[in-house]
Amino acid sequence: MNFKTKSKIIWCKGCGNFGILTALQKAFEQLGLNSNQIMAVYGIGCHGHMANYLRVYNFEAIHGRTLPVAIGAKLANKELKVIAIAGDGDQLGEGGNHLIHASRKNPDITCLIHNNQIYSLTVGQASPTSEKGMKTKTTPQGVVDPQLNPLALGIASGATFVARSFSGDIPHLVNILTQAINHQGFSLVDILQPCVSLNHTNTFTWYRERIYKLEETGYLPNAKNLAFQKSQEWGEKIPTGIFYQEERLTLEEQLLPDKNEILAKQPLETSIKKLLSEFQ
Amino acid sequence: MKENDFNIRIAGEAGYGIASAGLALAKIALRSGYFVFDYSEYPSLIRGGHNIYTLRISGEQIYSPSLPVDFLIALNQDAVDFNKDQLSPQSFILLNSDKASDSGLSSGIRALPIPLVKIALDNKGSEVMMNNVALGAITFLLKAEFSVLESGIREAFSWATSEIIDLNIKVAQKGFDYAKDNFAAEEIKFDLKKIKAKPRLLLTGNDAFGLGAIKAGCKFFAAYPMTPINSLIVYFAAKAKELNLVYFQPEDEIAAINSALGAAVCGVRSMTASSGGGFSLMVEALGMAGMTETPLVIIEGQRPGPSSGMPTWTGQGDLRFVLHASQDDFPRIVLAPGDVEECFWLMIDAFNLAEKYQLPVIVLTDKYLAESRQSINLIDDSKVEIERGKIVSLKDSLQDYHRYEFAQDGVSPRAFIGQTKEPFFTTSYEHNEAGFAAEDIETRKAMMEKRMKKLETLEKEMSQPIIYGSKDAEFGFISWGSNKGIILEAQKILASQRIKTSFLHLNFLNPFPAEAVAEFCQDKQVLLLEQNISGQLAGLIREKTGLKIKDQFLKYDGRPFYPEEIADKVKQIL
Repeated sequence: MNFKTKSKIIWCKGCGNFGILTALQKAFEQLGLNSNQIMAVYGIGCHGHMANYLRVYNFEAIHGRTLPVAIGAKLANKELKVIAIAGDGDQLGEGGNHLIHASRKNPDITCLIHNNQIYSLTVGQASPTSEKGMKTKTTPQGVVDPQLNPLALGIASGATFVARSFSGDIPHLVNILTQAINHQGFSLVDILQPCVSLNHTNTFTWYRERIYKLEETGYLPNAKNLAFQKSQEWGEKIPTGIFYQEERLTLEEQLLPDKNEILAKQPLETSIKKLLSEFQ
Repeated sequence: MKENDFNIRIAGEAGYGIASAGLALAKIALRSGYFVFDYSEYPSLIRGGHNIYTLRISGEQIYSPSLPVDFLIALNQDAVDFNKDQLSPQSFILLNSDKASDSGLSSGIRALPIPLVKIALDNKGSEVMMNNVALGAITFLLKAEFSVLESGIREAFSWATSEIIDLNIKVAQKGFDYAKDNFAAEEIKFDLKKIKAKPRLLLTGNDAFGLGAIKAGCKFFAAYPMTPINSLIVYFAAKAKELNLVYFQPEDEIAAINSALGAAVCGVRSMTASSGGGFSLMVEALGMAGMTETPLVIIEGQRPGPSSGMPTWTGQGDLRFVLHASQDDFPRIVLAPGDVEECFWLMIDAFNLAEKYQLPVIVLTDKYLAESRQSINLIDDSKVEIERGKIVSLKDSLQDYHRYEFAQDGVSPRAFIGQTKEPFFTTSYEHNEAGFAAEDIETRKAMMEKRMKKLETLEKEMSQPIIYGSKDAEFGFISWGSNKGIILEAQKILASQRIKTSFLHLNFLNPFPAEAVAEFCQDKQVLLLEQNISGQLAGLIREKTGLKIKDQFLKYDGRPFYPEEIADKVKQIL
């Protein structure tokens, strides 16, 4: 299956987004999906340009609002694989509330955070994941707030699949993405994605020196407290892999009135005779 | 008291079951063959504030509340003090003698004292059951059958144990008996003896929206609770399982509209609802519906603002807001039903127009219309037609499908995400026909023009506003939305005083029927009425027709107009 469009890619040379695009295309191939079985909902940011490059049903929404659009679509057509593709400012700043509640509600949606720790499309302001002390255009004296931790937030809010990968390690990312998409429930994937133009701290080299794979340490992602503890590790060593996974009923399983039917394919004609009689 | 027309008000402390007693009374009148209209006022509190429920009953079709109050059921002293100015010298008060006295009433007003609390307590009931004692008494005084009240109580308490139901019926019976022993029912010149009538419906505007949306095929409703649209949410949620619908309770209004939009692009008829405050949060996504050409129905229930304002009161201050909300221009439709029947039918139109023209449709209501009940003739839902506009499906060849293909009428054929052979592209960025982001001069201009063209196409087939009253009248009313019924009642009063009037009711505010308005204003003196301080419709008329309407009756105190005050205003200016 071809998941490529003919659009010219306008990301900066060496941008971490290339790795994510490639990994997504490979993951879809590995999963044997057709392009008309997948809907991708994007926010606004450099990541959002992918709406022009990835050949699936693309819906480029507004900044921060990928998840509610994705949830509405999933409830309308539960057969679609729905992927919410967002940036760090997008999902953790403007869209933070939606992330908390999507984690809690557990729709069968995969949420990718292209985490480059900076606002890139607006050329270099601090984001919720910028490191404390980092000098950016909006923080000339250095970021004063502590870094927001998307994994800890996801685990605490009830996400049933929480993982981290790195756009510089495509085989690892493909592996995490296939598992995330296969997971029945809300899967959150924090993707470390270096911005080669504006973030001169968290570079490919910086990440490569620190990253290690949880699965190589015998870590099992089935204990919430341990996962939460692990999610706090950042600095000298940065873990990647699946931090936490559990099975729980999805939003669609609980909210859709008829589990065998697709809401979007239901006939619109309805009898309201009985409803009217209740008002006599 | 007008002949064959009676106003009953129940007043007292919030938390004393005034709303449920009122509904029971309304059902008694409805099932006895009468027309009814009710209206509630309550502060934004659960307990303790002063609540009033007013029920107008008539042998003829009625369209609004009216004044004065003919019969006041006063559950406490505040009920007497706060409502005595709306009584006439011929009015009666059923006075809860355990909590109120009749001192200070104008002469003529007859007080009927009854120890409502004592009767409830003496019969092993609780204080809160005093409302049922009062219902029993009024049932006797209006010469209605106790059995009708009994079935009304059974219905109202269908959630309760049979013990509780029996107890409520018992205290009502005691109230009925007390009234029989102490008062003369014939003194009250109105009765609820059963009359022959066709069955009717008793609906609030919210009920009618719910029925209309369901009939229109709406299957996804996402809304965050907010007065005055809560009863619509509750209704839809209650019916969801049985009718294969989804009510989705989101974390905020932003998620409400975005999830409704997500469902809509997959082909589900979707809706959201809020009041002005919640709609404020929706505005960015409203623009996205405009840009992505996604059909969406948005109900906006107005209440006095700005900000939190007066949450449980009524107003029409959001007309300009919904007309212009969002950055830059895109086509939208704005409807404002005038009564519960229009709430049903305009809901059908809203869903059809949203899909036919692929745009957001905003339906304006207000607290008064949303929560007041009106009895209407049965709705013939076999007249409902569902029109989805240009849809391409899996059956069609979609090799070169472009979501935003240029079309003469501005409407590109729509496909549903997840239901085509090939995927297609949708974006909130300016885009080319294929749905890829585009910023070149030609594409930008052509796409803006294509979208705006839809409104021109719509204007050609738009139905014209209805004019009520005498065609040859030299005096005319112009108004919009929920003032309709109140003005129809004012026209009745004026007609009885040989003052001929006509009335142009606007329920379609965008696109605006400029020609019809200009024509109406041509040959008559016009009074414009609306419930906001700046004359938002007056400004709109000026903008669209160049006409300046001098006589304006603007109300912005949170209360609806009353027909009597409108009639007085007309006599002042004539």
